[in-house]
Amino acid sequence: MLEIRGLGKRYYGKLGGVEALKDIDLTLRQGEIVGLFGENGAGKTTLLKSILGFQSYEGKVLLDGERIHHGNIGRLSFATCEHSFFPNLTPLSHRDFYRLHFGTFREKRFDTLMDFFELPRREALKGYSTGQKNQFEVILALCQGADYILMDEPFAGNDIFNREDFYKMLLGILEPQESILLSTHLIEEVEKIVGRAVVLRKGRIVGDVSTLELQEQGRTLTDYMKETCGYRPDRVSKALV
Amino acid sequence: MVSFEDFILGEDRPIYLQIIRHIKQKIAAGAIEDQEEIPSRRALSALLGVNPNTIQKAYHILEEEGVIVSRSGAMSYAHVDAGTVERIRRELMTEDTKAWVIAIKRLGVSREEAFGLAEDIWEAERK
Amino acid sequence: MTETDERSLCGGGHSKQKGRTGGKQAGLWKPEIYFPPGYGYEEERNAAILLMGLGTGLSLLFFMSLHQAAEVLYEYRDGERVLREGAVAASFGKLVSGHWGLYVPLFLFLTAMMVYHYIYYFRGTRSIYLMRRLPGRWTVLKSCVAGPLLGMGLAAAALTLLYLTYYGLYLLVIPVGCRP
Repeated sequence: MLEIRGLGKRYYGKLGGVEALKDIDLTLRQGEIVGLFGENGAGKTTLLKSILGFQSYEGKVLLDGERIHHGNIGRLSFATCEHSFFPNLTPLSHRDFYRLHFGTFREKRFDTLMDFFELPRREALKGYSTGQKNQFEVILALCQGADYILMDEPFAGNDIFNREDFYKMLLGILEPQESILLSTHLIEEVEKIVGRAVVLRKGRIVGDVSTLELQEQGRTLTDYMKETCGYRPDRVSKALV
Repeated sequence: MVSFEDFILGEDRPIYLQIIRHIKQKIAAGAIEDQEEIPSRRALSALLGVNPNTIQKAYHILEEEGVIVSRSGAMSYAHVDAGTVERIRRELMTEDTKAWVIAIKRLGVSREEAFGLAEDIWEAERK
Repeated sequence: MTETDERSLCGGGHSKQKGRTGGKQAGLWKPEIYFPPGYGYEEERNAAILLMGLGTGLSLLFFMSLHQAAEVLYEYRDGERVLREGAVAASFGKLVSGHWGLYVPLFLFLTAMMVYHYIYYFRGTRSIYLMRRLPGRWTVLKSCVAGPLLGMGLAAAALTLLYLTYYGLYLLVIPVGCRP
């Protein structure tokens, strides 16, 4: 399991700095599909980047009890809306690169996904459309052979049918030991596929609930988010008075 | 294999209840045979675009009620005998009728008016 | 990083030129070891070669300096060229010092390229996020500095060779008694 304990991240600045994250305690178990939600600036991206070790942080991130280091980092993969592939290389070159560096590349899944989304294998990525780039970015994250797949707004710029297909494909190919942590603002869409929703607000966790529980209570995820984020439904009508 | 092609996800009830309903409805209508295969959790999850935990909950409840049986691996089968069909039929009928009665009563309609209306609509629906 | 797949890594058409099959990347020169993946190293390599060529070319002016230094040792008496008494030539060090000028820009250029390679991981996409997740410990560093270091090594070797050659010439041209 992936344990985050007391994670904090402070950026120093003129007025004493900003606490982008504070006291984050979160545990991700094998096989969970978890949605990470929150307004812009709530700290979702900061959290993901800290887990992956891209920046320093206070607190601990433990993977099966060990800190993240070069020996186990291959068990985490990452897909970001900023894209982390090499624009000058082709998908096949990326496959070779991944094979070389991560010994766990999933060949069959790669072929299945590339075929399903009809992505040209021998064209340099910079020639892809935005939607195709998003898809390829996610494909790499899914084929690395990682146990914990972290995704930061991976579908920005894909049309809705694209996304629906992807969610279904994802549910169909994931194996029991694979876990997903998906940060997105597409709350209504993603509500059905995630088993658990974690809500961030101003750097803190303000909600952590199983979607089954919400269903049983007759609440939607949007309702839950409104409650935990202090959304006031009458704010606009009051302002227009 | 039990089909979910006509299954439409609604917003009003928990998804696992909708799945349970779908299967029971088919059993009540005689559309599912005994030992007919039920889609695996993963397959149904991918088909509907719904988290496997939801599917798991639906199947678990159906198993507890003896409506489906899970054997080795991911395979599940319907358990349908005359007794089950009748029981489920009754259950669904009661559920729907109850819902109607509660809703119509909330409007303050009298019993005669309600039943009269029901008969009229029943006739009209024959066509 | 030696086995099976270096061909396909190159063969995917990663350079700016269209239709390049890259099959010729065999043997010792495997650009994917020395440069960031997908980096168009050709321009850099050509610039380095140019700088090295210019540096070497300009250093040939050493011959002129050597010739002058040698001429100063002689005078003409009765139409014959004769060594002057107590003439001492400039030291080799002094003669050679002005002529490595263009090698300095080469080393500066290669150092700048190391930084430029790192910046490459932030252009277009954030491939730095992929690089920093690799299990291999020093992969990012290696990919940034290997190419320029190779260039520096070759330049240093060339410089040494030139240096030795020029020193040999110095010894040939300047008579024993006149060396400082």
